Amino acid sequence: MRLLPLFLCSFALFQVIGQESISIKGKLVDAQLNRPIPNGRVILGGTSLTYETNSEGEFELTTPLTGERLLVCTANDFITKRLAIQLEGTNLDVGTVFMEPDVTVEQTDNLITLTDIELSDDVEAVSASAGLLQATRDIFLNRAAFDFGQAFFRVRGYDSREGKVFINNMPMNKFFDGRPQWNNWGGLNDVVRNQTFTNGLEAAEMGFGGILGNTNIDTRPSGLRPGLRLSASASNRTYSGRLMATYTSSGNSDWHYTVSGSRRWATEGYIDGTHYDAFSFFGALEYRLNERNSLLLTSIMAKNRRGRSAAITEEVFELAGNRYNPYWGYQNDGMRSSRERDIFEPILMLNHYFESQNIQIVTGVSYQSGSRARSRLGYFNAPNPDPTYYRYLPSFYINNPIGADFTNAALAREGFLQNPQINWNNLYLANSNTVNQGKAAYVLQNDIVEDARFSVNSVANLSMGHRFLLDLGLGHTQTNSANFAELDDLLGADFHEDIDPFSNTRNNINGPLNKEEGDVFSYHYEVEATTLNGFVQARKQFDKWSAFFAAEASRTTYRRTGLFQNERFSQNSLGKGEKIDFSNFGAKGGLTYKITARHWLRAQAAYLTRSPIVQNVFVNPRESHEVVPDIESETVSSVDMDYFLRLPDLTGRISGFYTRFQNATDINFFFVDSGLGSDFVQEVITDLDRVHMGIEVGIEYQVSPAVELSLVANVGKYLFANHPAVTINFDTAGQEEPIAPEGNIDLGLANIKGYRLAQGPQKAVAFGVEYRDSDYWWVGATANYLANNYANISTITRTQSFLIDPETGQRFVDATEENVAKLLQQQKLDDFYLLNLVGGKSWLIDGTYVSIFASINNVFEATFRTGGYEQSRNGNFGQLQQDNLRNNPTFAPKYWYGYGRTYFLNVAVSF
Amino acid sequence: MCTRIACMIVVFVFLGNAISCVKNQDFESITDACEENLVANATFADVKALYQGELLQIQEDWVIQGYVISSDRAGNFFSVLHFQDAPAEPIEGFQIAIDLFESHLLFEPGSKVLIKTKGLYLGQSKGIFRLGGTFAAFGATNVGRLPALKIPEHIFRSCDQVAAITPRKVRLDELDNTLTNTLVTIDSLEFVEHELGLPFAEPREETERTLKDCEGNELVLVNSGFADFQGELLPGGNGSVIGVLLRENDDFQLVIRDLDDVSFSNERCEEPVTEFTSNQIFFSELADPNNNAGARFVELYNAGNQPLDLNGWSIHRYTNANTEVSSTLDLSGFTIGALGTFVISPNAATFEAVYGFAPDMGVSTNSPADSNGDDNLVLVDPFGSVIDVFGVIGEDGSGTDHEFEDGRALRKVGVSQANPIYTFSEWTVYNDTGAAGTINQPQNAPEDFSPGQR
Repeated sequence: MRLLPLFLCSFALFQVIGQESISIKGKLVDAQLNRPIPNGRVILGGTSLTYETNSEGEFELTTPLTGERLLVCTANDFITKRLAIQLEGTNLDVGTVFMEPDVTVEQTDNLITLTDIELSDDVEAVSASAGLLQATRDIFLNRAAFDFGQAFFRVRGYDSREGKVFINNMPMNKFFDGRPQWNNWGGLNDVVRNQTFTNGLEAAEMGFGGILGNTNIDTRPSGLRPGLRLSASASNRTYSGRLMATYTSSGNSDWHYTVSGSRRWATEGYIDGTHYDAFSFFGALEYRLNERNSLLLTSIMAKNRRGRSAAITEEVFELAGNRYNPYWGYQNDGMRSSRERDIFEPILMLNHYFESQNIQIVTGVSYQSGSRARSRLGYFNAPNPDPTYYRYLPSFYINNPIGADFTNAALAREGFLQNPQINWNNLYLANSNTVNQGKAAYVLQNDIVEDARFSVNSVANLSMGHRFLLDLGLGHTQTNSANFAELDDLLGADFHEDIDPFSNTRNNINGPLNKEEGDVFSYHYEVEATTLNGFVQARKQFDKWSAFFAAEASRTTYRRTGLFQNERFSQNSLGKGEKIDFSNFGAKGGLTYKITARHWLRAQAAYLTRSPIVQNVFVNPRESHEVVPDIESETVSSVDMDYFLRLPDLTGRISGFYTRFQNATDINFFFVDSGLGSDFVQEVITDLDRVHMGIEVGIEYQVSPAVELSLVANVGKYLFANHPAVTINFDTAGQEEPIAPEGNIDLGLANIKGYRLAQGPQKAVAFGVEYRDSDYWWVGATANYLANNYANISTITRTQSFLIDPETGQRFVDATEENVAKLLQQQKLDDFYLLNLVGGKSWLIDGTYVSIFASINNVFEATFRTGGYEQSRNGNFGQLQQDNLRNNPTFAPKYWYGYGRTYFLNVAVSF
Repeated sequence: MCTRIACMIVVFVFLGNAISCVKNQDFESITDACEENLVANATFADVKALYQGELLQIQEDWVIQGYVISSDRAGNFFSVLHFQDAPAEPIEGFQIAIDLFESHLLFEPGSKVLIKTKGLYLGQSKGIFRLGGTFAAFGATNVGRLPALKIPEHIFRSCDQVAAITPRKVRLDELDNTLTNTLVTIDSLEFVEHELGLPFAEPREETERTLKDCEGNELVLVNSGFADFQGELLPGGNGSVIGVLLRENDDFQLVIRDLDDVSFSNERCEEPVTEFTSNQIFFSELADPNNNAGARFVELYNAGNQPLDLNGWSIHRYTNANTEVSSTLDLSGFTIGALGTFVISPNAATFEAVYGFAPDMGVSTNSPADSNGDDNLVLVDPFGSVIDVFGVIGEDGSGTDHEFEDGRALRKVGVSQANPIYTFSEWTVYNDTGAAGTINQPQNAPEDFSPGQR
């Protein structure tokens, strides 16, 4: 019970001091419908304490504070109202506060389409964190989500794993990559709208949280708007149409329920061949046992299937444009994607709420199971079916080492323009080859992850007097994750021979050699991950000061179980592998100083260790038990400082942050022509440090009641902060001359300190104008400038092996320090401007609330790259230098291109 | 109420399904991946006739059809398709270079392809016409591999079933240019002896091996150093080889698709039999003229009705009483005619001067043909058997019945068979002693001798 001393410690730190208090009460009412607002929140300016309204919209809070204060009234879907109050030692009744509906709320529907971009979960994955930010009213974070998001801007340059998502206090981030999987509740905007968000290192009520921030989704029907809401959307981004319907019961009975469903679809999105097919259903039933206890049963089923898109080289972009996607092709006149992603992981959750005057305890158990599948084409002793394969492109003939062949390059160009997609016809034709006697040359396979996750969790929030809050939590999560390839479609062949064609070895010694549709093949293993964690947090308030301190301890265990005995690792692939344990500890704290009620300063800091995510623990879990040698926990240290301004017409904040990630591990897979030889390798990077630092500014100025201007800026610097160690691993089976007989080589340190991280634009500025008419319509425009975006560097080219000529084994003569530095200089992506427009209107017609919302992104069709990565193929100086001399290098970096002008239109009706 | 609303929602959402038309994952198999509508409207000859001496891009919108005969399955062919105009008895063959690995998956041997010519490049190299894209190197542009994504624009698989190609059966001495780029089978081939034990090809190198028939005609077999069977040793034995016949100007080459194209189950060619034995060859006259030792000779006679190749035959001389062979005369390379003589002289010039004609064989002095009359001579066939003998080995001829010193030993005319045991009654012997039944009557050349006559 490591937590106990901490717990006591926090008590000692914040002594409870009794003092004379006054009460402030009032009632929040919907101005348009003239209905009380339950679940509104009232914050006394300058404190971090929030008070919720009851079902009649009433609130009452007590405070010892005096003087001029701001009373901030917020509620989901309503415009925040700030009341200036004077506290003079007597009780205060502010009466009825009329809240104007926020017509911009429909924007969150729009945001969900942005989170869909997070789906490109390839090895080179990008992941924006826009989804996390939708509940916040912070202007900076709003811009980050709604405007910068389309350019893959990441708040503070953090991966989305740094943000934690909870549903009813239950943690939802995946253990595999640490990220929240938004698709698990995608399309259910109406019912996941009730969110609380804490930014950065701020204290969160439901857990220690992540350093990017925390979102807690509250699915209690009693907190949702009663009645029926129907909405329909049209867009040309990821989906073309969406229908959504939600009903929440009304009345004051002990039973509340909500049902919701939605459907989203597209034959293709903005990017060619990215079909979209999603269903979501939601049901929640809440029963109030008595005044203090209630039960909540929630079930969420969201199925999402869509076609993925690829990063492409500049050469391909110039040939085919920013909508081009090589992953699809026509089959019998239908568009067929060779890379689909299909996610269906229903959640069933039971929560118990205990709420009294000073104590709230939320306890829950949840079970989530289902699968995430990604399809791809496997090819075995057959030509690569990808039309952008380097040998098929014009550059292949221009870059011919004997001499440029322009006529054949012209033919290749014509060929690419005429046949830029997957040629399904040829795949079927190849599979009908009579010499192969039914053996498949091509198969469509699914890489499937089947998780079964069980969590129990309990969080208590204790109010120890007016000035002292104590939060305690304990949680346990167990995940069993089965990973395997499934033979989805033999494309006309009769069977697939399950061997590795490069080494001619079997993927499973024990099973049948020939596989049919539906069979598991190639690899099959399970990972069991368990986590036990506890946290304690104290929040304390003084007149001028408030402070918090939180600590967390956890223990995480991973274990791989192989179900296939791989011939290449016959002694180290089958059965249970060793258990890998991590014990971790974290602490964070913050101090807020109120200069006046309108000016605050805040400083926060965190230090924590955490277990590496599973994908960075096992070298190649598809084939063996092998674990990254000397794997250890990562360390995160972070500080930030804020200045908050809360004038009646000018609000905003300026923040500075500095975060260092240490001892990180990263694993990449690629084919490389290195200085030591050529092979398909797993690159293991250990002891990797990264630094994220920068300044955030967000200012809103209310020019008039109708017009608001805003200015938001982020100036960041996200860097590799040391020279990490690099090892490459490869299998030696069946190779006459492996690079090294042991199957791995220590390449020493990679010289990457100072290179920028590929974490989206590191500089972003937005200027916004918003006009909000009293007749319930509004328009807004933002001009955005995004800069300092970098493609991900290849690490192996920054090791000493890069300098060695594979022909001679000696250092390249011309690989001087100067030449190498020039060659390996990091290329910045182009800076760009985006103009976005939004607008909406709402009506109240016979008690029916109708709203429309529209947005146009990238009005001027700016062409921009959202990210990319250097290919690691050119792993030696000579080859990279040779290749980079060319206009279109054969192994040029690949980029994701942003959308051109896109729109989103939504109509909603509420009864 | 509750269920009504829930139903409404479900209906509403499924309405979306009705409006949308996202294709589900289950695609119908493609069963018509082949080309049904294209019809050939030109012959290979039409296309080749376009060639005017240099590389050209074909502008004629023609379609030619052919049957694929090559295969890169085993890696012996690479980036090329060879095809002929009929599955059997083709008139012509052709080839197209393509930049595609494992092209046998689409164009397996026997598959019928239709090729749209417009836009393809046509060229000739070392007497062979090729289609394809281009290849520029060292300032010259030739026909090169057609880029992979251009292949679907030019080469189409017909819906016809894969045909069985009947390779044309030819002999090595029948090869001619019209057979170029067609599939042929040649019987009774084997690898030349000195290449046996070598692999089909050196690693990563195109390697030439030599096939030959029993008549000694040869043909180059070209193998890729990247072929699956590169490291296999050339088979001994003899048999048939199927392959695509290629040509570099006037030199034919054969390329096999895989090892199944080689079936060597027969014995290798026999060496021609040139060694024969006979008991109708024997010594007929031995001469040691009294007046001229330089006119000595040995005469053999063939009593048979067929000429005989003396390959492997030899005469051993046991000088005086020696029991070891003193000298040997190899008669290989000579033939003795039917009912004919074979005269061997140790002094050909003297012989010719004395007798007026040249001996059949001239040898050195002190050879078996240069006996001074007291030596023993043995005629041995190619297999080591003693066929005929003069004298008794180990016994000096002086004073015996096998001395012809200064004289002559003449086989009696009635003798028509060799005798491995010296039998005096078969001989008439003249010498200078007259012992043991011989005649003491020294003989002088030429008058007392009859070389070349029996």
